[in-house]
Amino acid sequence: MSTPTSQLDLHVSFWGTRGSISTPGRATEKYGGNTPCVSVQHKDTLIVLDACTGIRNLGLSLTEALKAGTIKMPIHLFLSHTHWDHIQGLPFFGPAYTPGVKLDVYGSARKGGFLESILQGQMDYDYFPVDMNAFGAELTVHEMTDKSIDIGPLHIEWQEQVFHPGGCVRYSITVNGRKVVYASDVELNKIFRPAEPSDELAELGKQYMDFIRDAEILIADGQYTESEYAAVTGWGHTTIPLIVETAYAAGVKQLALFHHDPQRSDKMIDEFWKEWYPRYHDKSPPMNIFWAREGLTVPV
Amino acid sequence: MTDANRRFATYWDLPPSQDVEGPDPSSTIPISRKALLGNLNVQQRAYMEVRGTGDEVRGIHLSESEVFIGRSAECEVHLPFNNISRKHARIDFKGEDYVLEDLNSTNGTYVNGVRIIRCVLRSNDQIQIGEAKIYFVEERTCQR
Repeated sequence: MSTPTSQLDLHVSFWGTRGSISTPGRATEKYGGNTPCVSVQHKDTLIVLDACTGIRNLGLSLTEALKAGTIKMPIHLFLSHTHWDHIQGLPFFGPAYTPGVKLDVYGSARKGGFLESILQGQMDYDYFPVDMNAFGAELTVHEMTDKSIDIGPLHIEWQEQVFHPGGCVRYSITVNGRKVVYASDVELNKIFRPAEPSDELAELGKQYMDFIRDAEILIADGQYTESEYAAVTGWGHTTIPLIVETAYAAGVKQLALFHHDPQRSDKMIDEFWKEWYPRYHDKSPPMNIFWAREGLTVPV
Repeated sequence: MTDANRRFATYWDLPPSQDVEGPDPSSTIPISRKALLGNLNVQQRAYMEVRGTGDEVRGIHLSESEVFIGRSAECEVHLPFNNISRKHARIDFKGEDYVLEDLNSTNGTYVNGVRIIRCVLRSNDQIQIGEAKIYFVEERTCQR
């Protein structure tokens, strides 16, 4: 059950776990109302996954670390896609305004050279009073072309996910044989439970399984229940039972359900956890299932 | 002064200007918002129910001071079990949250079955440290 202390140098922190739109309020206090932002830290290297409203609190937390020099430059921000609920926090990310900070932003090459202008666009004066020129940090935007990126000992791979409107990228981060996968915003039901099976879908399924295989932690879209799915087919999100079954079949050790539906209260998520956690905790081998919550940092 | 402006001034508890007429004795006197709020103060209280191997349950109230949990007798929450590190974990009050942090312990700190490095605690969280189980309860009350 326990991991040797010496291996606890890789951490995953959840700063925003809600999908679609931020949902402040008493009913979402536990799992959080901020939209997606996750950080992966290995020693002094920081990787940030998505930049929605959760990144504001990450920025506040980072300020002290940057002063103390415990985080090495640059900070690496990997965007899954540019829907509002994945980029809107960037204008509120304090370190972006701090001279001396280097911020490398990565995203899909499918934007055809427009990734930077999309980020600039949300800071257009019609939407926000400060434009991106106010960023004091040295910002570099990369549209990824190579299949993988190495940052020190961290090996990062990415793949385009097909079934999300406008596309979305999944990422894996591997260090010393330990793999973290971030695969939000994808409708796996279209791949694994298609109305009409095809070789193409089978290949997409295989690619997904290979990508997440044996991950120490998979942070995955589990926005809907089975009963909700009929009404939201085509919206680009996965059902809970499907992601749980798929993750277990791929040998995932720990599954963090992510991108919680805005209608989901803490009480409802607690009920999900009570239902799913024992089922897979008692299996051999076990898989630990939890619903990601703001303010949680887990070792990998 | 118009009625709308008067109501606005009352809402923000602004001093009345000279030309404000006195209240009409036949109408209900408005109460200022400031008077309504008075010394309203939200008090955050939290406590832990600590269960060891036996049936005994210890209740520990948390204040805004940090609390150490561990095998050492110096710890505020003293858990004398061999699978618990001397200083195993700490609870800090940060902002308005109680934050549990593992102190590089050998066997880990768990919240609701998940091994954590750090976790903002919420009411009804179940913390497991070695063979001890700790139930966290938080409540907010208004004190006047």
